[in-house]
Amino acid sequence: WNLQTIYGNEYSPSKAALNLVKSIACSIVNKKFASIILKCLHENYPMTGLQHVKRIRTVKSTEGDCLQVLVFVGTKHLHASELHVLETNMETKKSPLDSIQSLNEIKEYLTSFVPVQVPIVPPLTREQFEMCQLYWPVSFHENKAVSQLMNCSLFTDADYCIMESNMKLAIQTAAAGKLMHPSANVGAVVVDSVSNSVIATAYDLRNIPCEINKGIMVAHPLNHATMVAIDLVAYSQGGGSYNYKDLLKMNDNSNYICTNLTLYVTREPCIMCCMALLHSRIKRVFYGTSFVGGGFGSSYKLNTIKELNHRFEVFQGVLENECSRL
Amino acid sequence: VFIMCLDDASIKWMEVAFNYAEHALTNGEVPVGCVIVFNNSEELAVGRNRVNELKNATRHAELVAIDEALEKINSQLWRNEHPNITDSSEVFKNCVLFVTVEPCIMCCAALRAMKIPKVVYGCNNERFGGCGSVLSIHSDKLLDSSLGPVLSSIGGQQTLRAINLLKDFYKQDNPN
Repeated sequence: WNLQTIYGNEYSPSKAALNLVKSIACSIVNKKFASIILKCLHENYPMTGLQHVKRIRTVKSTEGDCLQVLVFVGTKHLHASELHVLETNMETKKSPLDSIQSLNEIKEYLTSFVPVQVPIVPPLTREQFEMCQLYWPVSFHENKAVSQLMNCSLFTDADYCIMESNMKLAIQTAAAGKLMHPSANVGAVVVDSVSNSVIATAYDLRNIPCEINKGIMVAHPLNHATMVAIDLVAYSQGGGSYNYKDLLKMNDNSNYICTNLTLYVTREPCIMCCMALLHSRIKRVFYGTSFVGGGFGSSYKLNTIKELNHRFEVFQGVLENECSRL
Repeated sequence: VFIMCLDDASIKWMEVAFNYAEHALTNGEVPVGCVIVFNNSEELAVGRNRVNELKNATRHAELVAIDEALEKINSQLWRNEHPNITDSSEVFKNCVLFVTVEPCIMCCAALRAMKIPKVVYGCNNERFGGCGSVLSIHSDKLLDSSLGPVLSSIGGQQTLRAINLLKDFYKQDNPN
């Protein structure tokens, strides 16, 4: 199976995530002036907050290598209108520095102005780093935890065995639900993230009556497998809303809501269920197949939204084929 | 800011919702209350937060009220009173939810899944709001197939009263 992390858009290997801004670079007439140029630029147009961007690059050409220096970074050093004026000057072969007094002492060392694009956000992944290099050189400090998460290499063979057995249990649970009602084709399993003990197994009860409050048996349209699993966890802690009678096993444990718990669910949960997991502070979610309108990758990525108070790891693709056959 | 003015009946329903929010506060729950109104006239169900009591973070006022509504419309008494209604799923299509705080992302999705067409609420929910504050789950047409029809929403009813209740709760929580 093909395990994939559901990560925030800021990690995506796309041009949008790099946040490229229009900037102006130029060639240095002689390498010996490089230090005085850098000193002058540093004093007048510092790169504060853009420590990842290199100020100088080597451009290889048939006439030999030359050094190119980044003079202005758009939005940081210049407003869009100022940049536009400089660009127009460049087109008419006028030096874009004519009107800029502070750079008088280095003007004569600079030539061949060109517009460039600079990634103003530091690359978060190696893929982003490699994309950045196509535009302007930057530095990259790899965050091992992020890299492992992105390429799913944080799991050992033993972890894969655990994931497989838990998802198999979720598939069996879905199969048990299907015997009760053909529409009940989703299974969910909640385990303790450390001990891997099973806290709850649940299937979809949308069309299977359970007891709401005192004695009234109702098929509840919101009793999706994940919602039922969350309520079974609550029940195991002395709470819970519904009585599933002999439909599902209700265990005892002492966790607070779903902190430190991992959910295995055969299909990507809907928006309601994803947000329910977020409110419950779930630690991790593994799901099998995607679901149109789902909240962990298909329509939203609720586990990655900075404005929300809990973020957590979600992986798709566990026993995907088996799950998709349900 | 344009605030939609409610008719007298709706103002009365907001009052009911606020009563339940106060009820939540005295019971140590986040003070959010709501009422589901059927056919513009009948109080179908009320709800207030029961997260702490039920140890279930999904027990928001709206979901608690939906449980109560389902229980009620499946009871023999209610069926006797409404002999013309044969399918309980038809009931929710003729309901409006009045709630003191903008429904969260989960509750917005739940209201759509129940096919409740309209929500009237008090203050915005800047932390979790699904009617525009954090996400616009209520109006996202791409969720029609996974959830249900879009939800129309009217906010800004007695905003200060709703906020003050929340402030009272968090004051209790943090005496310092």
